[in-house]
Amino acid sequence: MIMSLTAFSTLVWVCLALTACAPLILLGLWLKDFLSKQLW
Amino acid sequence: MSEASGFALSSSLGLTLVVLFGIAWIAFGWYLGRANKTHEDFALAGRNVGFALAAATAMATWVTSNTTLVAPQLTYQFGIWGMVGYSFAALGLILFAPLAARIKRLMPNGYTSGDFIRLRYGRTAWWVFIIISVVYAFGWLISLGMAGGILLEALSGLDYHIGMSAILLICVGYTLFGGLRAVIATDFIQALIIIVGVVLIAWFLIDTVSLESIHHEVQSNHPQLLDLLFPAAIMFLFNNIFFGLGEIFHSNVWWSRALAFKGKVAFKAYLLGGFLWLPIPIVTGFIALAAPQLGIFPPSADMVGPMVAAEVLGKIGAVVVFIVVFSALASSLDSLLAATSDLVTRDIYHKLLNPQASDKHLLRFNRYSILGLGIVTWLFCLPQIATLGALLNFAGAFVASTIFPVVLGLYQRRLTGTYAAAAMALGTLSGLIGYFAIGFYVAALLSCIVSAAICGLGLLTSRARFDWQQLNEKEEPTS
Amino acid sequence: MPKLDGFSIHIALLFLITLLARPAAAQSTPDTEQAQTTTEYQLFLSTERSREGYFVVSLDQPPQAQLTLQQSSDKNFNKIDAEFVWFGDFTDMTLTGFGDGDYFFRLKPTAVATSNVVQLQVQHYPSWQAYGLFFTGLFLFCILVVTLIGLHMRTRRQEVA
Repeated sequence: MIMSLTAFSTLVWVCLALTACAPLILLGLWLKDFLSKQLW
Repeated sequence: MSEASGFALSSSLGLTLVVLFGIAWIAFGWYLGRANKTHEDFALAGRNVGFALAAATAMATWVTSNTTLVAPQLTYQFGIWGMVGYSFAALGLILFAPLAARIKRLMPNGYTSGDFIRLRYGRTAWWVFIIISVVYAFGWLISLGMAGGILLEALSGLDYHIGMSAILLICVGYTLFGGLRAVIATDFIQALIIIVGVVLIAWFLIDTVSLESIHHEVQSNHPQLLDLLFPAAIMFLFNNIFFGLGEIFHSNVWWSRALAFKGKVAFKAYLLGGFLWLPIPIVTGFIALAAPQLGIFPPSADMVGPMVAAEVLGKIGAVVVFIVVFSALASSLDSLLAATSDLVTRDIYHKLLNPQASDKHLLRFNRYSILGLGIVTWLFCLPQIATLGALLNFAGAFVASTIFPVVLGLYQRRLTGTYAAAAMALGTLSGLIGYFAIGFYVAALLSCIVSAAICGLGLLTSRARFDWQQLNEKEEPTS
Repeated sequence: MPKLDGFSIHIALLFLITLLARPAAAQSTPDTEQAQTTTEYQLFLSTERSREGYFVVSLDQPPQAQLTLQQSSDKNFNKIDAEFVWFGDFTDMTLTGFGDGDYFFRLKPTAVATSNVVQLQVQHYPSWQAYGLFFTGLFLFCILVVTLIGLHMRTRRQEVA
């Protein structure tokens, strides 16, 4: 059962998008914790 | 390989990068360490780590250099299942989330995973557990130290011993000054560096050779790699998953974090860390599938990732690879140093050798043990024993035997210490026998099956009712 | 991470050889005399029977000129199924993604290079073994997840009550 091009590109693009979002999520959470003095 | 000859980076550039990283991390560690007043501050960052730092540290520690190097290797060897299977290691973090919450609730004053095993199962089980932990932690520490030396030598021609000593010195330095607080804060920055680096490489690759052409080339000439029913890949899948679960469930690296996180943060942090980690092996892995398209047939499969990165990005690629792998190494090495020294200080020194030790004394001893661990690791790394890597192959047999004893120990009153000790010892033994008699792909699986069966038997036959209050150990008055 | 094995060796080989590699052409151009003599290379395979569809082809000496590896299903190479250009001046080359079957390899005969013929059999693990281990693992994994979630929910309920 060979993985189709559509499935392959979808998998890679979705994972790339999710990975690219990660720093934004982390920085957002950091800012939230920082402003509410909840970092530590 | 854009360079006609020589190293990708000059020795001076390599050394400059190391020195800059070193100064920055150590100064940062020292800055954060000023807040540490007690041993608890130092070992567990005051038990008050917020959500953002908690999630980032869970994710970054699980991104070792393996994620950046072995994920492409497995993809090159096993195709789609190689990278998808590797990303399933995120299940370790995700499934640890409920355990972390439970750990935090049951042991608000606990320090280490060894504490839990000792209080829950007694001394015999504790000894088995400590042996498993030490084998695993040392194997990992030494391989990380060696990897650092080899990375620097390969990229810039710096002598192996200089590079290896440098990465150990840097990580020991900032962990020594800052304790877990420094480890967690540097992990946050390292997580950002790692993610941005791998996204950059993947993006440039897709831009240079499209996904269509990668798929087309692989489908015509290496169709097995796109096969979703690839026998070897299907076969190894769960063995690898159990290996990963065993690593996380038993290791003090993850327990000390659960105990250090603020109130209800532990559950959310591990869950988010796991989900953030999940796509990374696919992003680092798929670039291996571009190798045939680019005419890259590496001398060994593990070289494929950096070779593709260097081919696509040239010298900038080499610098990005250097920074990403260096960060990945450091984020794991520091965590392991901190967690193992906690285990030595708390479990062996405080609870076994010197129960009367004062808080100040423990803080000092913890620092000495970080230094000691660094020196021992350094000594082991010195001869650059190449066969060590092969020895580590059967670590799966050790760690997978702890999965069920840990899970049941946290929730089930009936499992007793005898059965838990037997489960870990016999599980490890069967895993090792399976490893040598059948193959590496059954070591973790077999170990976990035997351990689960013994735990099951223990639950059926036992009438014991463990009192959870015993886990909440009160500290002896310190002098 | 799940695969700790060969960790250090991996990285060693990886960077050391990768970044030290010079294109074979860079070596051969200045020394035309050497390039004109025919070199007889010895090819070796890491295994004669691959269970995973990947394997390493090795040369007995670093390539002196641009080499091409030919693949055929016939030992006389009447039909060439694929050609792989030898990468850099490494002595090893890892090939991957092969299905079941017998394969023959040799260096493309040229004025400067010839080689012996090596034979490889690719035989993937039988499906029963693959699925057997897969479903055993899946079964154990389901037990673990059900146990974990079940116990966690029960404990939560008890704590609330």
